[in-house]
Amino acid sequence: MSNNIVYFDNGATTWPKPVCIKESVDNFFNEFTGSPKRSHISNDIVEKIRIQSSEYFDAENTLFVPSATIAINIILNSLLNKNDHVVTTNIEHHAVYRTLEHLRKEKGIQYDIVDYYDNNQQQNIQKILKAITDKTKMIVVNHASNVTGVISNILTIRNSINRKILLVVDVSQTCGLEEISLREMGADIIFASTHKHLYGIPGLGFICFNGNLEFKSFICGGTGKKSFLMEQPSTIPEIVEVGTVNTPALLAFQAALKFCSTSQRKKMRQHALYLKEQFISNCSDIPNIQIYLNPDTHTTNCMIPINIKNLDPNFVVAPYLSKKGIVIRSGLHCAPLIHKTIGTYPRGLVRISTSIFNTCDEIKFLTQQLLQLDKKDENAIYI
Amino acid sequence: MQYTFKKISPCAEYDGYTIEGHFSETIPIKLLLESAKNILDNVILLSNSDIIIAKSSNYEIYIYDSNSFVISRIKNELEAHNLIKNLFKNIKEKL
Repeated sequence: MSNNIVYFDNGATTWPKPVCIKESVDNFFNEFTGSPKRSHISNDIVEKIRIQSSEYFDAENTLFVPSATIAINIILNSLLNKNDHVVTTNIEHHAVYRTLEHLRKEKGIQYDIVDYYDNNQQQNIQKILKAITDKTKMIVVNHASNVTGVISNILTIRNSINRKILLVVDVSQTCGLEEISLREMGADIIFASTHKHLYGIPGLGFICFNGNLEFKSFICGGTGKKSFLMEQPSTIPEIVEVGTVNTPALLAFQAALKFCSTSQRKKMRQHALYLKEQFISNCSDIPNIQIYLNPDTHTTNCMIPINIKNLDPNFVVAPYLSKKGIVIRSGLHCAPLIHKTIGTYPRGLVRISTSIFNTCDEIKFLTQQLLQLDKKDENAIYI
Repeated sequence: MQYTFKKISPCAEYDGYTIEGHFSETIPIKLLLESAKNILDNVILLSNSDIIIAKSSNYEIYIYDSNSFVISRIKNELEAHNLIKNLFKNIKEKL
């Protein structure tokens, strides 16, 4: 426990950050000079990190953007035209839903949302296949739900659909925890932020992709290159990367790729699953706890979605835990449809999400507090 | 005794308004609880947490640590004002 805070909101952003991440940001203040893409030294580091990112995710190219939300906005705005059809699922984030809905109204695209949350992967695939039309240009799917943590089998989707359909995968909740190879996964594009399980700092996201995708200008401005042009350069990465890039976050991302090496990633995933199992085991003493997990917890990441029966997650459980110094996230988590599927809509649930820095003692402390809260509910009415 | 409140937009969906506010001074929890029981239905105190919960078909009120509160599912701000004034009315007499 650090500063008496027990932090279980790692699905939102990991905290604390590793020492190497802090050092990388310090490096910006101490040694880093110049504006990226404007001075030769700085440009070198951006291009070096671009290559490192592409190697890490086994992709042909990487674009740097300010966040995962902006990444999917760029992808959808760039690659979809009027009457194009998209298939997506009920485990997505509003970064996908709201952008698709905006484009439906503004650009005339069409989309269908399939009920993907299901233990039977084959049934899920059938639902996606059934939704595909001759106008389907893209499938957007979350690699892991930010509510339940259930991990999707992307390769199975790839092998079931026409090669011409673009497969876009949100890896925000899995990169850093799962082995992610764009090629082996069968995705055409992956996107994420770097501040969750990669342990980077907020303010940077990425788009990794294979092939010659025609990204379009979403936001225009200076690129440090081709300044003689009055229009936005149409080349990659200039068409997407405008303005001054977030160098501290890029340096942190570089350190994060090293921190989340293959061996370290396996340890982190093993630790997350161990803590989850500890929590579930401890919860057997809490009569009114409801845990919304797939029976096979190994197909999920570090999320533990819970509720205490008859206690509001937002106005009772979350404030109570906060008072005890425990940080969690309650509500709908910007992902309303999965809550409808698992029966936690409209009030949502309490999401506990672990990191490599959480301990068994912290899990024990959390379950003790939940036990207290649950006990109190039974005998609480007095005056 | 005074209070302030503002409308908030919770992450989850609640019918009507959700209001978050503060009392200008800390009010003994027992007085708050007693007053709440006089004017509201289904009042409970989560004993070790100092959270008072009162639910009715029209609203839910949560009072924290004797000095802050949330009212959810209430029809309008006027009803929220009336609710808090009624709560205070009973307390004033006992202070």
